[in-house]
Amino acid sequence: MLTLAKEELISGQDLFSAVPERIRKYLCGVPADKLMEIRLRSGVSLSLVCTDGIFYITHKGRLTENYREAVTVTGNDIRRGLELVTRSSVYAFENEIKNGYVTLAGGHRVGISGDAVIDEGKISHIRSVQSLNYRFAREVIGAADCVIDRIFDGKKIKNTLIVSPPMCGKTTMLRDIARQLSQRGKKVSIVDERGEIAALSFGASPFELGANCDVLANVNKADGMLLMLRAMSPDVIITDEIGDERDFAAISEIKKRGVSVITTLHGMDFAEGGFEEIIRICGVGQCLS
Amino acid sequence: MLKLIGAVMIIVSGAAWGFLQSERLKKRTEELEKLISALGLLENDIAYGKRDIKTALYSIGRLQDVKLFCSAAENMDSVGIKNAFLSALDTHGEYLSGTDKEAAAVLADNLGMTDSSTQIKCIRHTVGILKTAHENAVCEYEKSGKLYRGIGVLAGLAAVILLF
Repeated sequence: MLTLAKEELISGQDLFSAVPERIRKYLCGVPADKLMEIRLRSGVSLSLVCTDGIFYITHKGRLTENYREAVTVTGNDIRRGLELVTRSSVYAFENEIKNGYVTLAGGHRVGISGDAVIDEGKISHIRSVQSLNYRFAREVIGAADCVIDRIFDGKKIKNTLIVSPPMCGKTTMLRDIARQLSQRGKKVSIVDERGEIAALSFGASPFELGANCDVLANVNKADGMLLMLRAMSPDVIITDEIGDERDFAAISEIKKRGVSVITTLHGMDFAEGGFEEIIRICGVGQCLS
Repeated sequence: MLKLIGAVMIIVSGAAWGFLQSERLKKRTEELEKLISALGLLENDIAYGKRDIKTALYSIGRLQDVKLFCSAAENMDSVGIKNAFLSALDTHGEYLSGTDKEAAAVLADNLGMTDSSTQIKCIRHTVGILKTAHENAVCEYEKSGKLYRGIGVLAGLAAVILLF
């Protein structure tokens, strides 16, 4: 079992450097290979979501299933966490915060919840932050090995919709599909609305994306897909978590131009249905769930 | 001869005390002016530049020679923005009065940690208080500055007359 070395925490991995110092010191003995999320909720026990369940952490840094023994997160921890996540500049992350998350360098995401401020029927801000959810982004080379032959037969890239519940690795698989197609000489355009697929930082991605991959980050998916279609003459456009009519319309438009689309959708199982309409509108060739 | 030297020293000391008091009032007006101007720039930066608070504080601090801003920017990573600003206020706001510092401390509570419209409101509120404080400080300097200088010299003379 791997554990997070103290040096690793102190030297500041992208995600851990955004965790409040008081909380960081308890994480030294946590198994790094199993850690998926660190959840901070004001006034409640510090909890860790690992691959084998939810655990709490004691004052001695030991994992437990009993939340009563766990370290309690304070309001100051949440404030400090928000300071570290936003570099004390909440105003500069308004767009991200109103969508409920901030993406850190390395593609890690910090989910934010609290008291939503509504303006003209839409969330304009989240104040009095109550909880922070640190989610790890991991690159898994070969995550798409099992599906790549079904997507690309050496000549044509099939339009593909990947359906899965949250936390099952949709984005990880999408990233690896982009890498494999790019390495096989296909021009890949990634539209990365939330900065999770490529996690661009100062114009460079920390992930292996091959030599034929272009990334447009932090842009609305529908606009971004059409922009990449016009600007980069891609063979395939890859984007994450489509959801509204504009996305479907953009995909239909891209298909008319003979460019393939690979995307994902939240859902439990294709067999449960509900996706037929989306598949019909988008003209997706296959659906992997 | 010794009496003469002693008398001169007493008068010089009295005058120096008066000048120091007068200088303190002048420095307060200057510090308030700088702080108001720097906060105006910070407001614009938050509203339009959207640079992070550390970069904004540091660049404005250097541009306007406001050590308070530079110091807060340098220390905020280790102690947080609020504590860094309060500590910088104590270190570099030596001529500011208690009420000036209180107004700035209220800003420190929110600095960087709310959305831009709230940031702007907080900064404007603080600037409003500091502007009133600046007007009062200018009046006080005009009224009391000369008085302190005169009193200093006169107090020195009075002491000499009484002693000798």
